[in-house]
Amino acid sequence: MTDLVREDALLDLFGNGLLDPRLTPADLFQGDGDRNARRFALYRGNLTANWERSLANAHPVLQQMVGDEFFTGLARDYGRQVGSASGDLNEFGGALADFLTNFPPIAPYPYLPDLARLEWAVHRAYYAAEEAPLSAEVLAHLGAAALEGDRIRLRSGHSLFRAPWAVDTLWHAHQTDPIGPLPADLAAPCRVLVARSTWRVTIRSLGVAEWAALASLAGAQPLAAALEAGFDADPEFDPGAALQAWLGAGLLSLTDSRT
Amino acid sequence: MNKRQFVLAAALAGIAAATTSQVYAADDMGKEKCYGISKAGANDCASTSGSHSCAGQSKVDNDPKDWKYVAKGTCEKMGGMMKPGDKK
Repeated sequence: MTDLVREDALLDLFGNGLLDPRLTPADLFQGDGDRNARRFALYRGNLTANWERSLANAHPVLQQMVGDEFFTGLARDYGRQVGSASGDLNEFGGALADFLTNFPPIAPYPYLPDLARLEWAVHRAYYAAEEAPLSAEVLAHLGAAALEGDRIRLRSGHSLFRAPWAVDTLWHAHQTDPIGPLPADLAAPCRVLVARSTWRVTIRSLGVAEWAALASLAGAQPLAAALEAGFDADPEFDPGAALQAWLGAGLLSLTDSRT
Repeated sequence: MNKRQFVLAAALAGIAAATTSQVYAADDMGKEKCYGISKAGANDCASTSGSHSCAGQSKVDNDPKDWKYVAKGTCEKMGGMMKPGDKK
């Protein structure tokens, strides 16, 4: 019993020492105190570097935008204040966008939280489970009834994203092979489909009608209702052409029927 | 013909068109899988040292002070062009 209590206290000492450089859990170790403190600082350095690496892996555009030095500090503050809720480092940055919303140093750049949200959506799409796309042949075989049913969904690795800033253009401009220039006006809303049809994640900006249709589908409406929503948003919307394009891009999947 | 019937008819026509024009095939997916399976940089640790904690090998973190935040990336370089506008 007392051993367990002591063990908890030691773990606290060790863990808190990793988060706060002012604490030196020298009591934990025998021998030269200075040398132990130095070595413990290395351990702490590894932790903060891992935070930075995993945040940068999920938010490469944000890193380019604020610069390496700023990003290092951000990773450190995020790690210390928010911490990790998962054993999987790929899930470490999930709260970064919310954290940035209340992070004074980025106040001059109010679009950065939404950029982080978009990058997180891309990151999640990258690691989403692989799911077979619904083919035109299968859908043709299922017939009109399937269009009114609840089995046709956005395929795994696909999601919708919207923001009051042009973070889609910003994201494209920061790719290794930039797709287009930096946005002339950031205060322009964006509506985006995040898609991973194979192993590469792309983002595609959507018009009002296609957004309305896919948002309806993402909201668990039947495909027919989704296409109608697109048509309602814009009478020029062509449901047949849209569906053909979605099938061609592997955007849809078929879930098991629920009874 | 009501709206839903129009949408359904158009959708079925779209499906029919997709069955004949579909280039997106299992073969293409197979090829695509060869590329970019791990994100750039995400596998560095495993490939260079075999250690799971290699990120900061020799980096000491002993600094209790507040970080000085100076944005030096593209959001600063783009200067006036990147003004967020009047939006709150």
